[in-house]
Amino acid sequence: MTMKISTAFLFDRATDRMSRIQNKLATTQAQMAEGKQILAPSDSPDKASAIQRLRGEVDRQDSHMRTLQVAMRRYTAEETALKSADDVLIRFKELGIQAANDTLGLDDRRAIAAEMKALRDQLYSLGNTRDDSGNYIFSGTRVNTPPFAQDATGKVIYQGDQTQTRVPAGVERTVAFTRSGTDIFQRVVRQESGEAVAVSFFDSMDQITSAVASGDTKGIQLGISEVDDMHFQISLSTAQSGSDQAVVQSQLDVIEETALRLKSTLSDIEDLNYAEAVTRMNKEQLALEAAMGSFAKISGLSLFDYIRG
Amino acid sequence: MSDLLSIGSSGISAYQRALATISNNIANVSTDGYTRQDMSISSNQPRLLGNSYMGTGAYFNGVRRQYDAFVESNLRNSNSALQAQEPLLSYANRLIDIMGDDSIGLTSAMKQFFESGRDLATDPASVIQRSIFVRDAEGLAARFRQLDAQVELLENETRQAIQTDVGQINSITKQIAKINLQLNKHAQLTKQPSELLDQRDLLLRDLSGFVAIKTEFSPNGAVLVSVGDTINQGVLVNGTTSRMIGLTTEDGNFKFQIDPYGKPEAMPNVTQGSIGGVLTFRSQVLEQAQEALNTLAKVMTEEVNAVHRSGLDAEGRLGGDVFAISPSARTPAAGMVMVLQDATKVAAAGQFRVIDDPLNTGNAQARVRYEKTDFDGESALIGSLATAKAPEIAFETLDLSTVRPFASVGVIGLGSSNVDIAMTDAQPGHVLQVLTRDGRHLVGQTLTAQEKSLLLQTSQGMEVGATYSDEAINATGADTYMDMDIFFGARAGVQEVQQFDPVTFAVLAPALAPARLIGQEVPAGLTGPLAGDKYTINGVEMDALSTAGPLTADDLADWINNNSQPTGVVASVQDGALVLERPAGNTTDDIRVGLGSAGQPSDLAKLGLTPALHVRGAAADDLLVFVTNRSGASGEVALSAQYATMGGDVKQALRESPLAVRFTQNDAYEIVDVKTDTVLAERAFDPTNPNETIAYRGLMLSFSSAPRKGDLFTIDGNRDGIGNNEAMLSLVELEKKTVMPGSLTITEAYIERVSQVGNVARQAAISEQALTVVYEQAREARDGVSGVSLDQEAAELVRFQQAYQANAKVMQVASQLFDAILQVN
Repeated sequence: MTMKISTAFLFDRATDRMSRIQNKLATTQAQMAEGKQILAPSDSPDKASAIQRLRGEVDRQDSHMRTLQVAMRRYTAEETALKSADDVLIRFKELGIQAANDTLGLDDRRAIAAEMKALRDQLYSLGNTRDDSGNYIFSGTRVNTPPFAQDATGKVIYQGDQTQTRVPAGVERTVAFTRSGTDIFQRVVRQESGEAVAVSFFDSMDQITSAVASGDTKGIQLGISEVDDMHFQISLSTAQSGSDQAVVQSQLDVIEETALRLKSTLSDIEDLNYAEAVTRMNKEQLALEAAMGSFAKISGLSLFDYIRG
Repeated sequence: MSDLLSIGSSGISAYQRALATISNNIANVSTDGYTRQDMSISSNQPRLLGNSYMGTGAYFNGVRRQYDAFVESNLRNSNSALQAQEPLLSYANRLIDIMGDDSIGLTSAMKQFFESGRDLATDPASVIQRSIFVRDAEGLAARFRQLDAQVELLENETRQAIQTDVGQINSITKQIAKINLQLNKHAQLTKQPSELLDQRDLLLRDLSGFVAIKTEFSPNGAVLVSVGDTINQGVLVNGTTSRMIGLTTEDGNFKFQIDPYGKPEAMPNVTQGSIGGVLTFRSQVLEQAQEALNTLAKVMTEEVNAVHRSGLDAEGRLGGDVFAISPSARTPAAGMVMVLQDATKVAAAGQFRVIDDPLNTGNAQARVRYEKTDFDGESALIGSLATAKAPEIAFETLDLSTVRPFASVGVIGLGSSNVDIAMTDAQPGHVLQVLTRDGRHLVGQTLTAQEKSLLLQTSQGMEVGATYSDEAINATGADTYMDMDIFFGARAGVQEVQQFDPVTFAVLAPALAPARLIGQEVPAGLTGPLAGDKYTINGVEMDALSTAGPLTADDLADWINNNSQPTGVVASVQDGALVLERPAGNTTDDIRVGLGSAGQPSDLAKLGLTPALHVRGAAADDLLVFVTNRSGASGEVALSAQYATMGGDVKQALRESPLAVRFTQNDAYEIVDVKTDTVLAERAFDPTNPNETIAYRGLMLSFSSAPRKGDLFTIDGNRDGIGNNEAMLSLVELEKKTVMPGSLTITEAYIERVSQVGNVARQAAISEQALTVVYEQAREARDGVSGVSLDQEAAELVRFQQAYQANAKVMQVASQLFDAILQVN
């Protein structure tokens, strides 16, 4: 004997089934509206934690990228200052060579000395360059203090420090961030009675200028060779800044690549496959229609209809 | 033929009732808990007519419930199991949606916090970046609190759910007891009204949704209900009495008790039904989530504060705490608050910096960090001496063996002040030695090779790689170690005499009197001559006392007075003891009777003077104190001690005094105190080891490449490096630091917790699906027996209607037959 199906159960089961399909359909619709496979973390807890992890990674890449862009801007400011300093020094050296010519008169030399003084002042102000956040770029970590200042006698003193700071730029990777002014406007070493004596950058420039003004040929000659050293140091710093930029640029590329990869993984997990979703929705719609149609027919059947009163 | 009429009428009345029963079934087609009623119609007692029995019609034998006890109990059990999964699943899902959400969850706030930390590291001087960091740190603390509040909401909700459920159970059991009372009116089940039994079953089914029950039915249908493992345990309804479940909370945990005001009985463990589900959620998911959140809040607070305290803020002050956990809060996560408010107080800079000398020939870039170091060996003065804070004086006696001929007296920590350790009974050959952790020998006699090998050990508190130097041993004046005032011998300071105002008796500044060193009675048996290189007075080495034979105190006084000119001390004798004095009017200098190059502590004791270690002012370094035994015999050394303060802040002391690390060779370096130009350590360096680190009292110096001979690195307290980002970098490093159990970072630990909640939810979802199928089958089975099908009823209706009509026809026939008989004649 087959089992009896009670009327109440027949109705209950049919409504249950229809509401289940309706639920599915509503979820699919919401997924399509949001464009997301996962609407709430509870939809798929394992994927939800993967999504959280990936989002964290993507954001971290963005943050690294921001850091590198800040570094890049600083390097650019540095490079601009260094290039100008380079040009100034070349002109300074030209003037020195010109002044070394014995045939020049006092007025000529004074004119040359005046230009040299102007060039030295230009270098001094280049040394106190700031970046776009207003920090002095050649002060080491004393970023609020101008690296170079003149004392009462006009002598240039260095007020920064030698601390090298680094900033994180990607996983297990840091880049140098501050450069000390004395590394760029470096002292020159001069032999005085057999002893090596260090003379600061600006002191040396001041001495050449006064040698030019006074026609001290020996002083001018010494000065020209020292300017060569200074020039070399600035070129070296320019090269270093350039290579730092190259490192940062390549790191930026790496990070962009990584971010892209992470984002595509994230999208695979998180985003909705529309083709699949549309197919699914059609299927569910069909199922719902079938369930409704068949239920209407079956529930319409009643023996009572056939009993003629 | 009257029988025909009565047969017909018996059929009519039987089928009338049958039709009524069917109508009742139809009427109750949608009634919850209704059990279909069937009826039976039986034939009447036959009558003997002649020799055959004749039927006498039919009668309505009674209404029967279509009921199967097994199917009904199956439905209850599957209901209990299913109801347990529903709250577990829905609450777990809600918890995941809270914890995993981007706007309420922890990950986004954590991410934001570290990101603004990283941004600040790129521009530590920026007030804007600092403010952003403060804002995001505040955001993180707030997120902990919000998250906790959300989780707490779930806690409250589940608590209320259980309270409501228990209330429902108590009301249902009361009703069942009342039904039992009504059922007691009949002794037999068949006599019971079907509707009453339906009500009983419906109540039992409702009850099973809250908690799994066991039932036992009496012959009359009354039911015994229990929630125990056996039917006799945890009885809720017994006959006409119901026992209520009492609910109390202890430390946030529920305590169920049956019949709390009658005969209390502990409630067996509830795992099924909606109460079981909620309890499972609370114990397996919610509690753990709360605990995890609290642990995270604590770890985050501790770790961030520790790093931040190791930094310097924008104005060069030490970093304070960033977060705090309010002790009055309900939980640590709820009490997590931000205590750092001022953006300038964000400590981004390191407390130490190392400056590579611009003239270094090597390319090494140095990095410095501080790590609190606990050295092996003693950590304070030994035994009771550690308690000798002035005005207390403590005594201790140490054994000296010959096998291991030294005893440790302990450590005088850096920053300790005015420490005196006296050898109260100095024996020949017993020497008090004071060394730094780097083997700088400050007081005592130059160590023998054996003593060096015994004392220069990390187990005795030495730094790794410490070497021995006696360059500053017993030094005075400018040659002392870090300009510290450390002296061994007998000492007396300038006397201070307490003064009072004669009128008001107010305490006045003490009057100063010249220093006066009073010895003990010169021991008998002292014989000359006395070698000059055994004694110094105020740093002046004494001439030899050439008198041979026994010496008296007066001889000693004369001997000392012969040297009054250079020593500045006048000696006299008082009660057989030496008294040394500075001349009247000298209220600045103390008196120090020390040991010459050949002197031993016992030599001072011979003169009636007590040899003692005196550290005046603060100790500039950790001082390791030992007594070595060169007597060749075992013995003991008696010590007394007193100090003003003991120990200090090593880290801040290191910040106060800049250090220079100078490479004297490619493979050797020395550490020099810059202020006093004192060599603090000389050690070897392994240039081939890329990870070679220089450790000094917790400072860790590492290099990008091996330094070269002549290279100089200066470590200082970073007073003005506002652009320094070291502390902020370490803070950002926390993001990757595996500080949580199982080598997880803080964020990972959180995500891990979310996915664990997810696992529970997923399992619950699977169980729910399976149990729904079981429940549906049970329902189908019950319906198959007890349900009302209109089609079936329609068929029955037609059947009984026809039977009724046929019976009516029989009566008509009987009547016609009777008429026919009447018409005969």
